[in-house]
Amino acid sequence: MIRRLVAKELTELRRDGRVLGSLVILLLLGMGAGFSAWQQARVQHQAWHAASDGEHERWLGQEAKHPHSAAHYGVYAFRPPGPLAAFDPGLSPYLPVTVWMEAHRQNEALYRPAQDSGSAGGFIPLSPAIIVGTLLPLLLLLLAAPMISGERERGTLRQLLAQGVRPERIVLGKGLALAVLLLLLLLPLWLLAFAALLMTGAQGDVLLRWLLTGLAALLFLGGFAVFCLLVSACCRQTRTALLLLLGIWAFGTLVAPRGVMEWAEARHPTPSALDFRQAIDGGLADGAERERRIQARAKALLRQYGLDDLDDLPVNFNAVRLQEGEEHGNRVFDAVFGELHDGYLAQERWLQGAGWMAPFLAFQALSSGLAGSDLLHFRDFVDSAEAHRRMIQKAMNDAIYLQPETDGRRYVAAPELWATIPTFDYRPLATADVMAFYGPGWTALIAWFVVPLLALMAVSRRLAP
Amino acid sequence: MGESEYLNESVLELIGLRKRFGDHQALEGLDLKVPAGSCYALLGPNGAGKTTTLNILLGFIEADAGTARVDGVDVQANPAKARTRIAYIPEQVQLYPRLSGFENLEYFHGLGSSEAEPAARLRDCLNQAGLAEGDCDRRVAGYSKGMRQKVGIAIALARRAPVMLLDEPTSGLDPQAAWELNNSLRSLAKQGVTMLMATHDLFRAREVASRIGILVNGCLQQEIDPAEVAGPELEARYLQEVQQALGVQA
Ligand SMILES: Nc1ncnc2c1ncn2[C@@H]1O[C@H](COP(=O)(O)OP(=O)(O)OP(=O)(O)O)[C@@H](O)[C@H]1O
Ligand SMILES: [Mg+2]
Repeated sequence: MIRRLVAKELTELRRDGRVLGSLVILLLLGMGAGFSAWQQARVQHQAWHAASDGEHERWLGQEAKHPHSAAHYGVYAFRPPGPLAAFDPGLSPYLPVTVWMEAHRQNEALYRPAQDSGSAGGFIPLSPAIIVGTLLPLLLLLLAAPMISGERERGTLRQLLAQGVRPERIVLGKGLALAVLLLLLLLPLWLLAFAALLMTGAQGDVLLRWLLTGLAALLFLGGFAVFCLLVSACCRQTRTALLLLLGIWAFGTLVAPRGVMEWAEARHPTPSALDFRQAIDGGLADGAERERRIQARAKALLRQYGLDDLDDLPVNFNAVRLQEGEEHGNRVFDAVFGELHDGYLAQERWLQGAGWMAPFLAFQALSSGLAGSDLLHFRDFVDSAEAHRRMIQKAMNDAIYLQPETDGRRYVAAPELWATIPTFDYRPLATADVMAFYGPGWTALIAWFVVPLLALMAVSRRLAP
Repeated sequence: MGESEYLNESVLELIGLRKRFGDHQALEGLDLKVPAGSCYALLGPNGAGKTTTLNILLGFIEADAGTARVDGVDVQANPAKARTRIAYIPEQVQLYPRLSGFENLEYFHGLGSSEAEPAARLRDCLNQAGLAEGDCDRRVAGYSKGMRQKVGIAIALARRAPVMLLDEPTSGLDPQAAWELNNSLRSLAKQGVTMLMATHDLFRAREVASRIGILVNGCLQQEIDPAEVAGPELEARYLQEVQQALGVQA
């Protein structure tokens, strides 16, 4: 009986040219957007490869010089595109691609925060994630709104019920027909993404991300379809159901993201550029702690070697001064930047939490997170680059430390020293860490699936003609 | 139980039915019994409460008071079970415009019964209802009102239920189709199907029904045995009842 119900729905939809037309248009749009985003990601990927290699060559090609000069020579760290950036470029287009790694230069001012993305000319690129997040729900809405209210309005629901059909069965048939349509729409996109991933040699963790992204899309769209059926089951007229759902859709995808972004900013305000600069300059200017540490190191070294004069030490005390200065800067930046970063992540978490209000927000957060184009990944990249920068400084200072400049001649390191520095090889976060951060988003999506489903089950048992 | 006793047993039973819509009393304590294998015609002016009565039997609306039984099943208590006993031709047959007449019949029938029906038998039902062979496979969107009505009749015929509820089944039918419908109903009655038919067609009601009730303002005013009255007399009595009842009200 269920098969008959589903088959009839699909026959009707098939014979409705508009449905077929919009399905084809959406599929083409999705493929086009996927292809262009894939191209873009590939270009970024290639540029990243070439640039990373080039940067390392440039670093290795330095002539013999003092290690601190090398530390000031600097290298760029290039950010690779997220593993699924072709599906969801997320914040990526608004975030810097490079981080400059040089002595005393903690990664400052490179962190262009989330609010920039909102004001970036108002242009939203049509990515597959945007299509799945906004256009597919719109299509589902247009298909689902008349499903039950239309039968009621036309009087066929009455006739069905008079035939002794159990109302839950009717609703189930509609739901399954929608599910078939949904799979018809999602599967091609999903499999195309899989093929593209295989072509780029992705494996393991990335495939897991692909699987989870598909799951998130199914949950989001499935929940929305159920919600549409619920509204349709409660409305006497299709017009009412359509208007209601369109309003909810517009609120969820157009109004809520903006509002919630501002709300998040109000809850966890971003410090102004001026306050931020002042906090850093203030911290750096206060060198008392650094001096205390340098004095302590000096005393300890003199005691260790039983000497009175730093110039007599068998090690280079300048290296200690340099390293302490570096670490002083690190402490100040870790404190001030840490606060800024944490503020951004708190905003991001707040956005996820707002998924309770509009599931689109939860889906958006999850998809950009799984794609690796969110703030969480960006912060991880910046942190890795900063760690790499610190490693370079430490290696250079350690080399200086071992070369006392007793005869007044500056130490010149051989190029072999540069080769001890590995390439900056950034690996995106493990999927498990991403999942841990996005727990609230998943819960919201699941709730948006389960609650309407329970409500629909309750309503359908008492479906009135 | 003797055969005559069985025949006299009521398959449709309405006892003291009352229904109010807002401040309008649609049914005022309606009592009505239809014995097995007979056809009861319910006559009455527009708004008399005929469709309301059928809706209560179908479990679509709940009566404020009274009991409705279909084949022994209390409708209020178990509407789903009651519906399994009923075939129904609504006042306005509503179909899926993108499906053909045959597909509509196949769909409705398939949902209503547990066993699959051979397509040939379903086509027989369409023929019996008077739908031309060439029209069966056209989309319903292009049907006339009478053609849709015929598909509705076919759906009810195919159901082979022990009870049939008909709400103005001949509305929109051409005379030929109405005549065929009457023949079908008569043969159904012979097969033991119990029918309750709301209608405005006094002439046809007299032909097919074994009992006629005149319903005015939600009250049964008079029951008539059609064998005992001629056509013109039936019309006169009907008009008299209606005018009397409405006059009393005014
Ligand atoms: N859902 C409803 N809400 C309010 N009033 C209703 C409703 N259904 C029926 N009524 C009222 O109840 C009364 C009886 O209506 P009903 O449809 O039973 O009449 P009927 O005898 O079938 O008339 P007709 O010959 O025109 O089909 C009418 O006055 C109608 O306005
Ligand atoms: Mg009526």
